Amino acid sequence: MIEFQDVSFRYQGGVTGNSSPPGFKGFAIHIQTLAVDRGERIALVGPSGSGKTTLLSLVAGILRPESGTVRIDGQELSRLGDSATRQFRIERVGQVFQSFELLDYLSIIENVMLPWYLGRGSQKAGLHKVDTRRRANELLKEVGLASRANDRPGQLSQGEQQRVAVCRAMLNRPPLLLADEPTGNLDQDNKKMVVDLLLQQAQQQDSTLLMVTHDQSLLGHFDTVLDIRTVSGGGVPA
Amino acid sequence: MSGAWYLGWRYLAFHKLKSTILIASITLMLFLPAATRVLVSDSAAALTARADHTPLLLGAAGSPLELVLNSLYFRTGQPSVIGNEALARMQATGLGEFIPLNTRFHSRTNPIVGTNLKYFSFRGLKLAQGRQLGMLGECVLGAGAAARQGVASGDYVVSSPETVFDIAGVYPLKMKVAGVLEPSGSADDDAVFVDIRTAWVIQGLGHGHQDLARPEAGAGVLSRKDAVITANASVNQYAEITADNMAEFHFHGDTSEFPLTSVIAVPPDDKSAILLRGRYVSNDEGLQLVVPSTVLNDLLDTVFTVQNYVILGLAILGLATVAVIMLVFLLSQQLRKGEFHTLSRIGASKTYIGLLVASELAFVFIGSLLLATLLIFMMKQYALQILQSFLTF
Repeated sequence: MIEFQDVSFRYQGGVTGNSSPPGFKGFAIHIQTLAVDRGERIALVGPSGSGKTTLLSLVAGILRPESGTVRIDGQELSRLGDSATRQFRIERVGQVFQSFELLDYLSIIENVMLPWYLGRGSQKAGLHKVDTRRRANELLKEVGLASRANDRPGQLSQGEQQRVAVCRAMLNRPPLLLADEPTGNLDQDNKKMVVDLLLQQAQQQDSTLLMVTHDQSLLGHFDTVLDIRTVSGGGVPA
Repeated sequence: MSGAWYLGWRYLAFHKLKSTILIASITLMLFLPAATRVLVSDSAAALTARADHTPLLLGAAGSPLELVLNSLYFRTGQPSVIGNEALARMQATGLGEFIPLNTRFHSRTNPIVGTNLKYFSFRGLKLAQGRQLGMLGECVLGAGAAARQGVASGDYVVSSPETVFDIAGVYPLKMKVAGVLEPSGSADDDAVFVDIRTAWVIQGLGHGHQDLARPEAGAGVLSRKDAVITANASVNQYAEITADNMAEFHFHGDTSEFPLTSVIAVPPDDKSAILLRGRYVSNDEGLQLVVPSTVLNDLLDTVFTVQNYVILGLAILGLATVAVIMLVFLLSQQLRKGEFHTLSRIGASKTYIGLLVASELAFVFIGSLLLATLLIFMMKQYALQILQSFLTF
């Protein structure tokens, strides 16, 4: 499913596609090999600044490696053009972020449908709006938020918002689910609920789940715990 | 609606206050210069249309503009007057038709226009109900005046005193409404038309009272000397002219000196018009004969100049508004960096995000444009009324 072969990446300071976030200028990672099977559920751990988020960004095609190859289902991402990469991200990758990142001006159900709005107009637009809305409603029902479909994100608790974010990530039934510290802003009860939800959704769709976490209590839920330091030679500003 | 357009619409709909302020600012920026231009051009057209249909005006020497506005729009107040003999002299020339006007009085807020029957055919005014002026003391109301006073033919209206502070002034005259005119969309709609002699009665130049020669008037007689009978204050004066007491009404003084505020002259051809104008070139008699369209064109030249300055000012204000809107917009983009970053990570291209922002701008500008157009359309409908509210008070 996911293959890294001799991948090097370094944040630039300039205006390239790999321009660095604050504090990341010159940061670099190098991954000799990494292989993840379809349906595998992996917890990615490691100290702050060790490259976990960078690895997820490389998998999602948000960042492009300086050298080496990243393959998803045999497809080499660096060979895809910008448009194809974006389409890949919309259709094949579900992403959950630490701070939920729901749009306050959209209703809950519209937030879940966001990937559909972003993908609309492309040749692979896929589902019609009615079908997409039905799918979004099903997802909200599964997470117990069907009655809140027309509310705004600001009206939900943090745990509920993260459940909406999981629904958004799962809208297109992506084979790849990436979660970057999705429990970082949640209390203990909500942490467990969100992780269970991610695992359950991944299992239902036979999706590969790659989740970054610092929470040791959650590691037991995953098939594999991967310490970034064991695969990356980076993590230290170059 | 494509995804970006839909998201743009939802953003504006969610931020209602911000969107409303933006749309209101841009609407005003578009509306004000256009409204100024429409109001001025429509007003100019309305003003000149009535003036163009009034060939010549004779009035007291002084402000030609005041004379024209008084005669065409019946501005109340205290217009300068000329003697009735001026009308007689004009008629003696045989150079056209001449219509007297006396616009000095009013009934409530409606101007009383003393004139003769020629005025109605000259202006093309038609009766909606009742009949034309038939006897002294009757009136015919414009449609607006009848509506405002809530009267119909057969009802009564009363002239208002010139000033409430003059307790020695003439009595108000109760006038029967003989008819009501069809709406004409002009100042005639608000007028109360009476015969010119009725206007003189209102002024107190003519009056009616019980016959002092009769024995029953004895208590009202102060003294009798030869044929001269002097009445005391108890003599019974009539406040209404009826068929029964009409014979008791009479005028005191020389009617050739009775006042007119102006005379509309309608020469049959250009030659007659020029001959008439030639007679009043010199100002020896305290009279002036003016061409209303020329007088109003002089006014409009000034108005158009002012309009251009106003529009220039509004354009500068508009540029400043655009600058502020752009600044607010750029600051808003800065605040939305996180949102755009999220969209980008999920899969939105820069073009998509650009389209999202462009759609928001497009909705704001299209909404403003539609609103401004609607306002201009509505204002165009009411331009004439707005103009009249400035000219008649």
